[in-house]
Amino acid sequence: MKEKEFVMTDEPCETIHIKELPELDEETRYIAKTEFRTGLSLTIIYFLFVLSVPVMNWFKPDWAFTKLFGGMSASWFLTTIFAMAMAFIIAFVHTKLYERWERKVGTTIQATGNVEKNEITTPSVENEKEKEIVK
Amino acid sequence: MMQILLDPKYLFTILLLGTIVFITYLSKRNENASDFFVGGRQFGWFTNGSAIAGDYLSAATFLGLAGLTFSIGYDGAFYTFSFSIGLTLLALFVAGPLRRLGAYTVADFVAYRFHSKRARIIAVIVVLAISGFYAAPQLLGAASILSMFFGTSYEFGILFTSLVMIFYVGVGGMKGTTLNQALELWIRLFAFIVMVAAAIYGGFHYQKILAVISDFSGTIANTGNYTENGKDIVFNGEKWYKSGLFNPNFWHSISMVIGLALGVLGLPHILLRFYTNPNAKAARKSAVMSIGIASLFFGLAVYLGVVGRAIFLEGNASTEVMKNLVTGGDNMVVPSIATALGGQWLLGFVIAGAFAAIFSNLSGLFIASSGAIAHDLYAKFSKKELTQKQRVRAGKWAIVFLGVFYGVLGLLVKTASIGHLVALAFTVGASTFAPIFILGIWWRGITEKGAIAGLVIGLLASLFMIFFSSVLPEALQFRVPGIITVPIGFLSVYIVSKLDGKVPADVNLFMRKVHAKEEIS
Repeated sequence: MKEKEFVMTDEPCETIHIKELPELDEETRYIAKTEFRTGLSLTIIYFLFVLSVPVMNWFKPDWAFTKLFGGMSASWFLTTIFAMAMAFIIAFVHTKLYERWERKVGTTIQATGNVEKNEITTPSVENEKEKEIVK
Repeated sequence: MMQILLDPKYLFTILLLGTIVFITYLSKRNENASDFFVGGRQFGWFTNGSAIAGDYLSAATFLGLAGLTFSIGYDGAFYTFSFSIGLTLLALFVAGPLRRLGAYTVADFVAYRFHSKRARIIAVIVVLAISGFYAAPQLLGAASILSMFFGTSYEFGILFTSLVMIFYVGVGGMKGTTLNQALELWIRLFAFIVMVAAAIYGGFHYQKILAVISDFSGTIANTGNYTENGKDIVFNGEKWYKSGLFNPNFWHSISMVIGLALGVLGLPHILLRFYTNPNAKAARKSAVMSIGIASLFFGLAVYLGVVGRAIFLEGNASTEVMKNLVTGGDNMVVPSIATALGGQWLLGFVIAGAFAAIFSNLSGLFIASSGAIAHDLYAKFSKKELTQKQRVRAGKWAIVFLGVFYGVLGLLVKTASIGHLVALAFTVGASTFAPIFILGIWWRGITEKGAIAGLVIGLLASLFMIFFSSVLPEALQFRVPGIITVPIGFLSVYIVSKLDGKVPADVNLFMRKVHAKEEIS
């Protein structure tokens, strides 16, 4: 049986109070959680670095602008060179992690041969931890 | 005539315009709305990644960031740093889900998420506000370059650029725009790389010139002839080297980071790009590629700003260069450095690069806004069912209208700073669409009323902080007021949604659509 699909329309639809809203199905919840957790972890790492730059500039200026090699200080290096590499690395790692996760899910689909009742809810038999997270 | 054509700046500019005409002609077949607004969703990660970077790296980046570093030193570099954060956040939280939804425009997301025509109209108003703030400085940049290097009037520059855009986007649609943007991105990146190579060859090594600049204190030779009071300019290298010339305290720096980083998540022409990928995987890869290119570009821009300052402090450059660096303002720093490093040929190449940046960014804004007018307003609110051809025609008429609208805005901002106007567009984006996209994709509890409240309050708060912040205490006046307007935008959505509590009944299906693997969704 074909499952219900989201209809892209402006036409008003019924509303429901958030407290009465049914839980998300397990597979979507698992995917969204995993995706969000990955993004959030990388964002926290990234923003620890991003925010450390102004903190250093304003609260430890002597240290931030001490010349390390030639006229290059820690702040100039972090802001103009390291930060540019960091932006790319974070996005690249995210894509790689997501692709690896997608491959893992795909392998499970092939192994069980069951696409309708989604396999993502049981990512792998060996990985009991992930099963716990889903539950 | 022949002599003019052999002048590098004419030669490169004519070559650029000729290429645009050729690509636009090749991609003129736009048979349906999908072709016209999202390029038939056929562009792979390389083309689309180049086009996203092309969209993002506007005149403000090509001309403005090096100029800001030249004039305000470390704070200019920090400005650049803040600009570099947003695309990464976009890749992490928005790019994939947005593509999985598979709509046409930014307002589509808002309207479909909440099944609301009211939300669509508000979203269109916000799109036009952001695009207006963004487009006006691009036209200003184009008119300034034409005026400075080709001797045309400011008004002619605005008219010329508007006409080029109407042809470029009106005929080529998203297909032509994407291909042109990708090409233009590589032109300007190559221009920067050539300039950097010339600078290194000329002995302007980064750490060496930073040391020279930071140790400089006193008057700059050969500048008195071009200043109003006839005296040489006084420069304090230590102040330039540290934070404080633009951001007076820590909170201004944080406000800049918040406003510029989250602003990217609210830029309609960037968000729209993710609809043109064939799938979410390509959308993610496009984002990564564009971040790589943009990061390289930002790094080079700051370095060139430092090189410009070093050349200026030496005071040995030609009279033309010294004059332009004194009187041309921040936006003319890059062309001046090009002249100093490589003469008229490099200048010609850089001018073509600057036009490439302006055309690329403007075309993205034209496409995003034409979608808002033709698809979101006309097609959705027209009483009759429109054919695909009628939708495309409506898109083309919207582009003509936008050419006039942006042209008028361009005339109004003649004396404004490109970099600052763009920062204001980011502020509006960060306070309006950023909360809607982040919460709309990741939180089921957002309601129609919450979304509308967020858009309206976020827009009004941004406009107030941009135009009327002088009535507030000094501590609350920020140059980039993200620290005030972004929390207001997020809190408005959250509080009103919590009070309302009525979410669309199909929100779980929406979540499945934007989060599930593509074969499932």
